[in-house]
Amino acid sequence: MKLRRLTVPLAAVTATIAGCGGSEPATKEPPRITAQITDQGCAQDEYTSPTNGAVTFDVTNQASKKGEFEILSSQPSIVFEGFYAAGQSKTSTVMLRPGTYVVICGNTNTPNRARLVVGGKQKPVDAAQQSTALTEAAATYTTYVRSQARALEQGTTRFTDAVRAGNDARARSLYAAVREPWERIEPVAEAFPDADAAIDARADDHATGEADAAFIGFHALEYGLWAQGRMDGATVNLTRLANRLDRDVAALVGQVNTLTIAPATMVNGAAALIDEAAQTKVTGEEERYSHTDLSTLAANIEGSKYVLELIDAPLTAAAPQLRDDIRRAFTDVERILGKYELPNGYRSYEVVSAANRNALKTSMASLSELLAQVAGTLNLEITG
Amino acid sequence: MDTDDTTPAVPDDTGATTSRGHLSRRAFLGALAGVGLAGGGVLVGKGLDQDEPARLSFHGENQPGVTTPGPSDAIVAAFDTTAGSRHELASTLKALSGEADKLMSGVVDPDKGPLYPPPDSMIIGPTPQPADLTVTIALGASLFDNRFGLADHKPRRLRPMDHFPNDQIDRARADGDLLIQICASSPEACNHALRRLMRATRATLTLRWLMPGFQQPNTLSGGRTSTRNLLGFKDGTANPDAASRREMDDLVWLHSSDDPAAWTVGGTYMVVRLIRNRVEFWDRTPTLAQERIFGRHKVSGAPLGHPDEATEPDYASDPKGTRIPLNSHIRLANPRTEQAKRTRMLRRGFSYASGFTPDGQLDQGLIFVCFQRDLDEAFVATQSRLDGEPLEEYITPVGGGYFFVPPGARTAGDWVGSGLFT
Repeated sequence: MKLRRLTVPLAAVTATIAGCGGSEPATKEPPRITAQITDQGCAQDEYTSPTNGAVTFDVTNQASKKGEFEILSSQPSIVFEGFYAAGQSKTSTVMLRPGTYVVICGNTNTPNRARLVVGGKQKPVDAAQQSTALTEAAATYTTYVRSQARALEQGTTRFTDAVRAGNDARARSLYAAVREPWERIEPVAEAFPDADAAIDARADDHATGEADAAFIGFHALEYGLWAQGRMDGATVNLTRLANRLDRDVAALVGQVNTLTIAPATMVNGAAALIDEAAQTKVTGEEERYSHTDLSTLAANIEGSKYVLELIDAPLTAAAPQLRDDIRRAFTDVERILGKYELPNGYRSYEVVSAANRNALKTSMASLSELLAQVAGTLNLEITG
Repeated sequence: MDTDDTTPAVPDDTGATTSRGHLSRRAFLGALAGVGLAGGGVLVGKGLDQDEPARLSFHGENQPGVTTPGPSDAIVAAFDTTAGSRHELASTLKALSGEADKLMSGVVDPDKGPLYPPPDSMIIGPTPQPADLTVTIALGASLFDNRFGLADHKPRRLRPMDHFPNDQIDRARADGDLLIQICASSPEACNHALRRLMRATRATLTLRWLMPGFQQPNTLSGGRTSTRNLLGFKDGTANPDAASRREMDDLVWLHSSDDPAAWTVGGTYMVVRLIRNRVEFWDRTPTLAQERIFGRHKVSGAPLGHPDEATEPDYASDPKGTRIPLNSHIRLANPRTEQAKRTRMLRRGFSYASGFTPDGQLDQGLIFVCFQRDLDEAFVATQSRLDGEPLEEYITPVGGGYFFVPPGARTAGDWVGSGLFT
């Protein structure tokens, strides 16, 4: 699954929240800007948006090779960065404050850059508006979590059907993508410890590792599909594990559907996703048999970034620099992941170079530090 | 100093220490008075009136932690950088110096309130107390590769660590873009500093290898030491006098004639070697054999057949090595020839104890650290003379690296490494 860089369905949500958070009222669609990347750079000298807040860009890469569309603030910091294959078009919605930006089309050496002028006035924000914006964001996030849980259930059934049919090759091909909805909402799902242990425990969570009778869930199936017979260890019964996983995922969906997520929980979850990924996933230990760690990592990033999009307006109002820094930190991680992206997933973690593993470590660690500042900035109480 | 090898050595490394190994200098003086010390066991460090750890200055012509007396605890941590540009590298070095200065000055950032993470770990209290803390920043050869356009600035002797015949180097514990040496009077103070330094550079530095070390701080000078390594021998006897500016200028700090890269003046080459000691094997080796391997009496530290630790061994009257074997450690390391004088360096190591290896043997040894003006004339020449010494049966170098310690940050606005970017 591709990383989602501000996708279209999200734009509507972001715009609504932008209205609460102090930008221009966004009762109508955000302004749209059409831009082309050419071999010489940007096709125009200047782009303008009459209003600030959400601005939608339809970007087409007409150049002969892969290129970027990058918006830089005067800091300079990267406000937005998208990557486009030759001929590719993508739509992205970006939250912009009033002011003048520099646009790069292609890469930093491409000659023709453009100006981007964003009009309108930033309205002052009061605490009540901030609070309303966060409550609305949390409501949207609750819906998101439920939809991800449903997606997990549907994907899991496809996966377990393949397992039961004895079609190991198909099961292996589905494994990484099926887990992604779980990895997007992992901290929330972990609020149900029984579900987490049943669905996502690793062999070393159990006293006797792979041989432990309590070793069930995705990673037990991963072991069975990839490593059984090729590693020392136990034999697992794939069909039994598949049946059990279906039941445990269905139980989780039931629990999640009763859940209402508070703003603090949502913000804490966004940070927890990255913390956990930085601690235990950049080592390649999460998907140790299948080496699909980059898909997992990308889903963690996506889930965390979604929360940041939802709270973009309140965060921009409270701490614009922090918001820009976080955005750039997400882009840094995505840039590294992008090097290993395939049309339908990611390459094996085993091929990630030492230099890029280090870059993943530092960019994730840096992102964690920044996300740790968000709760305090938004006056949200995280009780641990 | 006591000349009788069989008498327990009262003043040098017994008593007078706290449980943490921080020397109480008053208690130590009392012990000296009690035994009527003859000759010159002169205290080094901060003077008799200062029992307590001090705050040392980060700023100066040279970096701290080189000629500063070594306290009880240390961490050496090597990092690789993921900085994407010269600018990012400069910012990283600036941030390191900024944080090191704050740490050495005892400064904590303002607390933003209970909804934010605390600005400090508080592992040494709400207000960090003085702890003899020094932070030394050193650069590895790989930093001068093609990433940052610094190839022209590379100190001419700097390179990845050479391989010596007895080495069994684990590459994961060798070299690195950058090395930070933290020294202080407690392990907590070292870890406190490490955590803050890492937090300040999270976006561009990632750990490559790390080793904590410890020692009984030396209380003696004048060619004597109270510090012992984990083989039980005195270590640091015959070290140059770090308190002598003239000697340090001669042996440690780079001059303008030493390197075409002008920014290196006031810097020094640092060698770190993680040297594992086979302590179980050593502990079942007869005392006489141990002493002949080192060339010193184990109790007093005196060269074999000599009365006192500080006595210059007389090799001229012992051409066949009957008293001090020709292949003993001290004779090979410093043959006391005119030529060997040029190869002297300032040693400033620590011991380490790091659990055990799968064979059930303790993983203990020496974090050998030395500083010198010329890497090849000092460390490399000395190490080459030691090739094949009998001690090699008991020691295995397993990691480390060559680094360059840039000159100090002279003023409040200056930072270590600024000379690379001018």
